[in-house]
Amino acid sequence: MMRPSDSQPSITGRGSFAQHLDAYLSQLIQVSNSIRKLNQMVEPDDEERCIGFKHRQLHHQLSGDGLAVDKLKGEFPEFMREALNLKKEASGEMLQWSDSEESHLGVLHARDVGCHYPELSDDSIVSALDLHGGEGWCQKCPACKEHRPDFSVGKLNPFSCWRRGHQSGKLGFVQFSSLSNSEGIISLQPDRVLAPPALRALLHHECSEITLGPNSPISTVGTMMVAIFIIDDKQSQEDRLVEIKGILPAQLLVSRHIDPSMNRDSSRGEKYSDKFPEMVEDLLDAIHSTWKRRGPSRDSRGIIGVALVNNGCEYVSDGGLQSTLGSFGTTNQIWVGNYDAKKLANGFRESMLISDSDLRPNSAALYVILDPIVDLGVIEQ
Amino acid sequence: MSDQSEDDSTGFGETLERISDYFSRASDSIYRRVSRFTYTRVGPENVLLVFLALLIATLVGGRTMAIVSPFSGLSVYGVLIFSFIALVTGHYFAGRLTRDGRLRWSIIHLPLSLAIVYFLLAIHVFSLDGSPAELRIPLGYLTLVQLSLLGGVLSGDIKSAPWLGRAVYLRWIMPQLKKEKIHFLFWSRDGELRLLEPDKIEPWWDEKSGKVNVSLDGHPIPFHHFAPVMIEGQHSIQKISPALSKVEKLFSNLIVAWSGAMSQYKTAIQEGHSRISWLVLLQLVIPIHASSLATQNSKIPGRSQRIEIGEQVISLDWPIENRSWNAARTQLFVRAKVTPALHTALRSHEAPENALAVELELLDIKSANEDVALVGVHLLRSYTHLMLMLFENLSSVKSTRSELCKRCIRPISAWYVDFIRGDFLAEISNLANSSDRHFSSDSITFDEWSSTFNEALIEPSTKFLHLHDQLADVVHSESESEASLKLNGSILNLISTCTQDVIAPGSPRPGAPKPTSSQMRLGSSRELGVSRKAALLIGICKMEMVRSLLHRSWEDVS
Repeated sequence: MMRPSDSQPSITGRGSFAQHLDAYLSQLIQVSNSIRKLNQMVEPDDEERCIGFKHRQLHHQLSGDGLAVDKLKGEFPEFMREALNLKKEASGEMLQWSDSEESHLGVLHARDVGCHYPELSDDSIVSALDLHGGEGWCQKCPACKEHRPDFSVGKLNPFSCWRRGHQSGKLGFVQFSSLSNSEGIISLQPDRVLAPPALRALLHHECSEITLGPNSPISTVGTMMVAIFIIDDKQSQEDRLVEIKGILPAQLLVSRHIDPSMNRDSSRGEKYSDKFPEMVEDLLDAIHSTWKRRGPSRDSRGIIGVALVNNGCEYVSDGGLQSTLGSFGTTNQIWVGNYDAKKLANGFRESMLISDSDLRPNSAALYVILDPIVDLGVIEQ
Repeated sequence: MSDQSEDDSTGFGETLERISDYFSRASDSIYRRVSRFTYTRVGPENVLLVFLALLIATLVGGRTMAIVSPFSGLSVYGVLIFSFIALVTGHYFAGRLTRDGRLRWSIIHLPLSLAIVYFLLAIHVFSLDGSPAELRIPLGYLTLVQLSLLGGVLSGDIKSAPWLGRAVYLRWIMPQLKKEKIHFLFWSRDGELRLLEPDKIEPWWDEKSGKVNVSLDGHPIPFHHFAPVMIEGQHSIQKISPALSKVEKLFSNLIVAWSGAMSQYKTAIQEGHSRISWLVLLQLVIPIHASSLATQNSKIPGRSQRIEIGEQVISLDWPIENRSWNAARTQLFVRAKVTPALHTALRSHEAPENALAVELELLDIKSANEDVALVGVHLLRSYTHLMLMLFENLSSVKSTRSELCKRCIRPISAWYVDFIRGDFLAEISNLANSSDRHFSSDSITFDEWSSTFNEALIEPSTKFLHLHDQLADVVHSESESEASLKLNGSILNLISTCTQDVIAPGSPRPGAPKPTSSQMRLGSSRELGVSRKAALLIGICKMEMVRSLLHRSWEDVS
């Protein structure tokens, strides 16, 4: 569903970048809240066992059996914690007893929820409950080399477990925005959100300001959580405009299509151009911390990967932005990728959820891959 | 000659044949008429007239003007025995004799024939002077038996027929009502109210319909659409309260002989009072502020209701009926269980599938869209039946069921108000735009709510999950139109809110100390259980109402 652009939130070049960023982040939080809400109702994986598990879990929740993750981790009876932490053998036996019909995270084996953490072996005695929380494997999993996106094969979500895999395709989303450097003013403008039907409906109900894209024919939309920023380098076009403006007075000519008031200090534009990587860094930092704090799960790691796909954008090619992304990746220990759109295989753009009209010549796309982790237990809001 | 005689004999035979055929048909007709029951309306006035005619004719023709009376020579014992038997028969079978068409001859035709005979005797058309005793004496006995029979009929049940009640009412009851300043509150089938002076109400017994009616604006209105009321206070702040007890007292002061005649009038007034009790609940309390039902743990409404009569706003203080809805429906209103409650209580002639004007008025929907209004009417009916069921389960005796019902009333009534004012109705009505939908058959009836509630009390979480899944399926199977998107969002929000409301009671508040084990034992656990169960039941009721609305729309779409 497309709404007229005039009803979109006012994140244009009129206000400051900080204001735009605040509005953008509040939208991101709205999306996260909707995913949390929906996570109570739908299953993250389309596997039969996952559907059954969610159903049983909801039944227990409604019956007051208290399967909330917080409670299980924080208020789990002492004797159970002892059994799990101290008496490994006993807890191991408990996990062996459990069959796939269990809905209690404490007695459900990590393997049963599709965990593919490299340290998981046949002898591992790790419950699904152990995966949750600050010390759980889910915290370390995104940093593993095995779990990195691979754009060359169109793999934007490298996970396949119940928490991050989103095989059901019901909880993911792709948010499009544009970052443009126009007249020396960097503007951030959210464009549209692609989401599976249920999430679209909930987003529409919860936050009508969010512009929702049409139902995407690409089934992978619901399997990932990605924010895509189209970097439109208007600066180069404006440089050509400046060049024309310089020629006209010399020939004693005037064009009625050129507003003299639009003359600007080129040094001012240069100044802002220099600030673009810095602003992108601010943007990434803000998204990272916001998604970490307010993501769909309390175990969210924020941004787990960043990729830049360049389609001949000169401004990006100068290396300033790449180095900013590299330093962001190093600081936060996340994967960073750089791709040339022209060198990517045919049909890649489709799997990258981006059309030719989005990624025009002389532009670039910044993919911010957000941690798609959700809780298997119900998070009490 | 011989030919002529043959012709004569043939003509005579034919005449005989015709005569015998005539008698045969006449006897058949008489037999059929006698053997067939027909309802007759011989009132006491007819019987009285016949009795007087026979008595006067007998006295004049049989005694005064007669030289030889048919009563001379009668045996005293015979007279006493025959008269007694006839009197007792007439007294005890008065109703049968006056209503059964087959017996009409015994109290109308035969006495009138006798009266004519005596009249002819009186004017000397013929005389009994030379007649034999075998003819006179039976005539004398027959006359006495006939007079006794009519006397018995007049002293029997017929003397207290309902039609006599009108006279008693106008002569005795109405002046007392005026004196006591008792008015009548008229609640029409359309849900409109009027206050009427007592002298405007002149009830009469309608034999055809078997009801006491009142003529109002030229139309007969059943008397049970009126209830006696007392009006207190000044014109600006008038208050109406029922005056049934006072009117019943007036009826009890009547002489016993009139009690039968007035019984239908008294019953109509009592029914009118009960009807208004139900209408106060169904038209004033439940749709507007049902939360007041839960203010006390018994069936006492929290406050008086404000009603508009003409241009005047009046406070109405009316007690709630004690009997159950099903009892009232079957005994008082005599309606089917699928008929909407408001239709039933108003005794509306409107078909259940049609929305009443008063229902549309109660919804107060600003939208001019007819579909929205009809979906709203459907919801209003389901909601009314639900509240009625919850209210019936309230009891002053402490029980979990009563407690749960009480806890359900307030949140559901608040949700209903938001629902009606929100966009949900419009979203549902947009889903299917067919104009020939019938909503009443889909509204959830009182009995359906009872059975849903009984099931939910046993396994609340299972019932909740069932509805949760049904509504979730609706979301996933829906098309991608704008209308569907809005509706799906509202449905998902409803499911999520209901689920969260159930889970929330078990969640500790931030910063709240953990409950100790002793607290758990001393009742907080039970309290938590009741709260959770109440939240589940509230969620079930909300989702069930939305599901019933979607069910109809879904059928239209498919």
